[in-house]
Amino acid sequence: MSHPHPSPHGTPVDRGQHLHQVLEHAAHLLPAQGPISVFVHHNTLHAFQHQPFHEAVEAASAVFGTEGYYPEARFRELYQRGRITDGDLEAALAERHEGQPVVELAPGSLTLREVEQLALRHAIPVETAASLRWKLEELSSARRLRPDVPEAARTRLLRRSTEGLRGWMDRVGKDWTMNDLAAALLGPSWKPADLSAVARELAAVFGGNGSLPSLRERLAKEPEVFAVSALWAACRNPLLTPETPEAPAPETVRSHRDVLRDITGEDPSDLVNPHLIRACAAYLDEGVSHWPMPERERGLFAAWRTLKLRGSGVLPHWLSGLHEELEESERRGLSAQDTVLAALDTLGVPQEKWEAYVVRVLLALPGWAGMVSRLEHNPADRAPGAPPAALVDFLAVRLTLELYALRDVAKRRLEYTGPLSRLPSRRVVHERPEEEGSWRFFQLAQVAGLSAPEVAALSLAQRRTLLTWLESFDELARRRVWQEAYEHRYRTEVLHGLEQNRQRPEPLRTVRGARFQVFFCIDDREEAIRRHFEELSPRHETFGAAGFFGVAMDYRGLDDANHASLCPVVVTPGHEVVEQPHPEHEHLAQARARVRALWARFDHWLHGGAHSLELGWLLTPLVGLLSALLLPLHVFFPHPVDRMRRALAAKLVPQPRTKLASLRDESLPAPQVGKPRGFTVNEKADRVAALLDNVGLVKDFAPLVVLLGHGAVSVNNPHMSAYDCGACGGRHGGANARLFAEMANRPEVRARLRERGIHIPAGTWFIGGLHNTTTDEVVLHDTEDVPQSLRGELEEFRREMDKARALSAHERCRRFESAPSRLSPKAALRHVEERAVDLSQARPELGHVTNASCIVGRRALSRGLFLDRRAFLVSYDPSHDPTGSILERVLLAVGPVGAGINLEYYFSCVDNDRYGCGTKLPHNLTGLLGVMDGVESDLRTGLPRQMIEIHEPMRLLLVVEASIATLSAIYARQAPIRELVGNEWVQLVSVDPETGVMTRFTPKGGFRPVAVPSSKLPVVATSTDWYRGHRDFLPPALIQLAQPSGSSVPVVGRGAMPSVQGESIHAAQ
Amino acid sequence: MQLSDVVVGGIATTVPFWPLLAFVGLGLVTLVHRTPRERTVAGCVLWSLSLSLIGSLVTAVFMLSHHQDVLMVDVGPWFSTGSYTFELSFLVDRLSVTMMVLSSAISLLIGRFSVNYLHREAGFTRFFLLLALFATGMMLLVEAGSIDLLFVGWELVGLTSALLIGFFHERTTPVRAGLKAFTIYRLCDIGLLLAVVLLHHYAGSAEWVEALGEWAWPGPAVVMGVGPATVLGLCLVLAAMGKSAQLPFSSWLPRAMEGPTPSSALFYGALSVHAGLYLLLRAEPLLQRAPLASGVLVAVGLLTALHATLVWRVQTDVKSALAYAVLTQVGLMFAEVGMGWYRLALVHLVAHACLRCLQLLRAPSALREVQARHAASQGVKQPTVAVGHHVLPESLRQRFYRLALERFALDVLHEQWALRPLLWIGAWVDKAERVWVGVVSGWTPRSAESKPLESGHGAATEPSGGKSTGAV
Repeated sequence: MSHPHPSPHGTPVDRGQHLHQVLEHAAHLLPAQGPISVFVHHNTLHAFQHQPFHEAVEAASAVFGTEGYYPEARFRELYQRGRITDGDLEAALAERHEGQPVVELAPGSLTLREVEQLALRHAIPVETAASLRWKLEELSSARRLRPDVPEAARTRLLRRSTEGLRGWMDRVGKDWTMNDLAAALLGPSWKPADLSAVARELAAVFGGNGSLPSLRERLAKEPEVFAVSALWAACRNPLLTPETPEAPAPETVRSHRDVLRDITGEDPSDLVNPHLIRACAAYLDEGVSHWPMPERERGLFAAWRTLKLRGSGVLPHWLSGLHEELEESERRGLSAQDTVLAALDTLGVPQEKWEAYVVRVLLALPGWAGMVSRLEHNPADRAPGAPPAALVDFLAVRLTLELYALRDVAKRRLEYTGPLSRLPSRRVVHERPEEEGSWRFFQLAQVAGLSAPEVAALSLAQRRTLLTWLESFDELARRRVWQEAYEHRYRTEVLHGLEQNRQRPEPLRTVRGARFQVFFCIDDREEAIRRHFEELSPRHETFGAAGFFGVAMDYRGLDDANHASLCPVVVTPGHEVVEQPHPEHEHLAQARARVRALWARFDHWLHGGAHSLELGWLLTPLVGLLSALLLPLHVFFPHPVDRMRRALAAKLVPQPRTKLASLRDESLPAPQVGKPRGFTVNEKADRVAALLDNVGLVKDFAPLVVLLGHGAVSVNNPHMSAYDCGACGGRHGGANARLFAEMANRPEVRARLRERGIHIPAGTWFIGGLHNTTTDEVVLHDTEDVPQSLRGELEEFRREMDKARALSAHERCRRFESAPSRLSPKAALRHVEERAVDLSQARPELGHVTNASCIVGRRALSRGLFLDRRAFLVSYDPSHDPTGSILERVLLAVGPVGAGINLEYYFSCVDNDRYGCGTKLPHNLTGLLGVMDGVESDLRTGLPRQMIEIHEPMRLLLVVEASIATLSAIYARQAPIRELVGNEWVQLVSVDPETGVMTRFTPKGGFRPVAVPSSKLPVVATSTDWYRGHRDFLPPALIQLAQPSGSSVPVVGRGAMPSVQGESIHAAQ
Repeated sequence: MQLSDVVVGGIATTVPFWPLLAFVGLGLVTLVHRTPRERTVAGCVLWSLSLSLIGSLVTAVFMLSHHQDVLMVDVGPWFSTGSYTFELSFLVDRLSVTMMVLSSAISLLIGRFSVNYLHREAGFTRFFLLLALFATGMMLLVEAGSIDLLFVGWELVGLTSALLIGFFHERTTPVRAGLKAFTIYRLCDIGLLLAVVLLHHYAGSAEWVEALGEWAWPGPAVVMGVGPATVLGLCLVLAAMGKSAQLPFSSWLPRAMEGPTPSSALFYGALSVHAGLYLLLRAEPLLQRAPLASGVLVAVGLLTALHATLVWRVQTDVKSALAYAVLTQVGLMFAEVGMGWYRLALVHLVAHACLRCLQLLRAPSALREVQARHAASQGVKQPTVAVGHHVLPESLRQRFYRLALERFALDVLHEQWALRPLLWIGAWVDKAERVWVGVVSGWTPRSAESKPLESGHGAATEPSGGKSTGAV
């Protein structure tokens, strides 16, 4: 161990406080994911967000033992597939060497940049002595060129080498002997021998009889063997040693467990974890078990101690003595903190290393430790009356068990029985081959096309320099460059698209005399449906706003048991809203509640009964025969079964009309306890005005303005809430849209708005609704209240939206590998509906899987541009925002949310096993808190593999239509923005609203112009024409924009439109 | 009529054959060529399972419509040793036809389910190959006309079960769990193996109809002495206890939930876990003759059910809870068989298999179901169904809670009472051998030379004793 001396004992109070701080700090490094019923995306490396991205990734990898980028092999594969090009690598390298002069070895020879290019494209892995021997002896690597040497380099190398070798052979007999030639061809280890021995050796390698004429003949025939052999010889003469900086590895604290695992190969945690997991799961359980742990209210450690002391059981051999220890502990009334302190002393951890040590211990089971810590800091995540969670309790149990496990492993494997504080430590040292430097130089020479004579001509210093260039561009640096190049590729494509789109005449891209105005969430998944809806008519206008539409509230629907906060997690709502039945439907609502309660009781008894012995003996045979019917139906016909279920529910359960109780009398004082119910007229006007201001819709209202929140519904999916609306705190946003529409329709509110300069004409009506992103179903609320004069328009809207949602489903289906490749939009809609209700479907929808950019600005910037569902689209009108205050508000909301989603996908994708939660297939729901792999694993946090399979991990490209001055001012004012942008967690590009000039923010040099190719983008009649037949990512394309001319617009090139009837768009209730 | 019999017999014979064909065909292609596409793999296996199901259904319909109770299908000689010939034969009666339909239907359902569920998974082909092999094994098991052939199916089921538990072999826990299940299977297979030998010995034949009588199921007691019947019965009970995870072998079942959800549903919800029961139902004429074995069954079954229901109520993860719910019911079925209620046990078995299969497939929905119930009852807490443990006095309740949470410490007890003594005996035998060799070679060197046979004999038996402990 690195700390053999027992710690100096401070006073107990000091030590306790210190431990408390240590745990506070350590908790930051644990996963912050809460109970899985509400899944909110956040930056997985939030604890490192104060550091620049690349440094943070490196630091986190060191702490967690994770990968921060794709492996190089994966990047090379992407390069082969054309997702990264030479130009991107060039640009990324240029940025790396920005401001430094071009370093060249000798005129016309390799430059530093070229060496790095080669190192990127060709893997030169680090070899151990054994692997090097394998390559030389079994793979003939000293006789054949690497298979990945480019054709040009290969030809050049062989030509030069053959010329040079002929020269060498000509020298034999002049200033060289055969022995000299053999040494040049076979390497410096050549021992001078007599002529016949030389000939024999040469013949063995090159064929022929080993004489000079024979060698010449062989050289002409098979130049490769000669070239490679001579090159390997030249590289070893003299042997090069890589000048690796001998910086000792940073002093990392290793726990006893790490030490023992490294030495013995047995992980003491394998003994501890099953016990700890079972105790934790039983303690934290929120309703799976039917017999809760006794004395939970006393805290985990005390409850566990009592359990072990009062309960019957048999301790495994390695835990013998635990009972006595716990008895003593109970007799002396030791708390969890005392136990931890005593354990740290036993382990001999000095006080200054507590934090690092505790982190190591907690990270042995990060999911459970993280859940305990999360519940400790956010008690609101749990039901009232749930037992208290405390990290110190967890640590106390862990350390108590771990001491036994450590002693046991040390005794069995090392026969060490002394105090743990003096456990001997050993580090495994990897043997490095002495030819390492030469070997790596040899590899470089091959891919660079350097021949043996050329290498021989280089001075030792020059060779050293080349090798140093290669070595100093280590794996981490290479992967950074790959990552930057990857991002460069996408950035260029999108900016090129935006630039080309901007060059189209403005009237084409803006809507005049809008017929329908539809608000969607900024979500990347809504990009497709917005585009398709707009393609249907030049008079369709859409906006993007965070899906809670500025209405933060604690909402309780008619069917809900509790209030839930519908707003981003950083906001605490100040108001409560309840869905109530219409007065004349009161009785229906009561009947509904009764039926539902009855069903709940029935289901509860059925569920528990079939599991238990008390009722199971009777229920199992009865229910079992019923399920013999259900089982095949569920598996073979999920869609019809679901329809029948819904129809049955609609028949049996009364559907009362409802309204939102949202208006509060201004004269009433705020309640003493709890939150005010509903909003006053003023508060309503504030919210309506804020949203309309944000998106820039303050005049030219269409007759129908529709707001669509979104949510997702799927079955058999513990991660369902990860598909929901992040702006609504991982829930559905339909209620927010409904409430907003209700507010904006109120005459009093409109009157207040007029005072603020927003004139909503009397002929305009707002409707709220919900877009189901899994099934592309659109449900509109409160359509009975729509004025008679607008009923026709409403019908027309439904028809148009039906077309758009079918096309949206169609576009999504191209990305599902399991969806048929040729589907009509109508069939596509059926396909996605089936995915949502299919028990066997591990991928109900795509989620945010393709997210990569966020465009903040007028829709005119991106209208008519195919963005492949990859962009968050935020409506913002810079012409209404001279001071930048609106933009500031928008960015503060959008930046963290977008970056959180993007980075969670990023990290779950680059290291799915550790940042993500691996494949869904063995997942097992535990305590209603999270999922385990199988029956006794850590709680798995992050996203499952099924959610990130087709993701491209890249940092969010934030394109903002605002001047550099405005953005700089916001950057200076707002620390959260500065952290994200300045530390490069997102890439920021400014599009000047006046000139359209694009500049990219770099932390080193501020805003800099972006070079965008001037080539024309393909123009297609419809989105469908562009994506038809393609399953992979598609670059942007321009979609033909039509001049608005009356209401019916002929659309060029579209096939027969599906006539999906409006039956599935229907009012709720 | 006669012709029909032959045709239906032929159809029944093909039932285990189709999945085997798919397994061999796909396996060979994968072995010598490259992994076929997902669609090909799934298509082949699903077609073979469908043909199996059709075969089972045709057989069932024929048996029902012709009121035929027993159909013996003699396929041909299997192999012969000396004068004795092992026949390859299938027995189709009410019991096996029920199980054929159930097994082929559930295998097909699980296959269909897995097409989507395992889409893009690295082990897709492996999973489907094992599924086909399992279906073959299960069909052989239920259709076998002799205990010899049943043994073959029994082993295939055990092997595929262990391999699917360890499906995610890049992690250690599943592999360990698979190994554990396999070890317990092998241990209890001793019972079946003994039963095979003893049945040959006592009844002179391993054919069910010859040994137990050609009666419609459930038939009357076998004509055999109570002694032999009891010994045979106990052997079969041991075999069934392992396969169906009865006490004291139940600790492998919850651990077996490490594989992908559909395989858990297939093996531990629906079919494999009931294989032991099938064996007992098949050998029911023997059990009728062996009151002791029946008594053991009742005791083991009831104890298992009690133990399982106690452990179930403290489980905090969905799959473990289901595993113990399965055990509770299987324990009850064991007791039913012990009481002689064979028809009830069969109905119970079929119903339970369907129910658990569906429940396990829906296991990932548990959270939404709880939420839906909570919302529908407007947050009113429902009284718990599990009230049994409340009858315990307070002090006992704490005792039992820990016992239940630690699953009655079966793993520790296995280690202390089975593994350690076995290892100890192994070590002792090893030591004894060294001493013996020392004695033989060192003290009386001449006699060692003169008795090569004896020392050779010792060397041949003793290390094998040591080796078997090593494998455990």
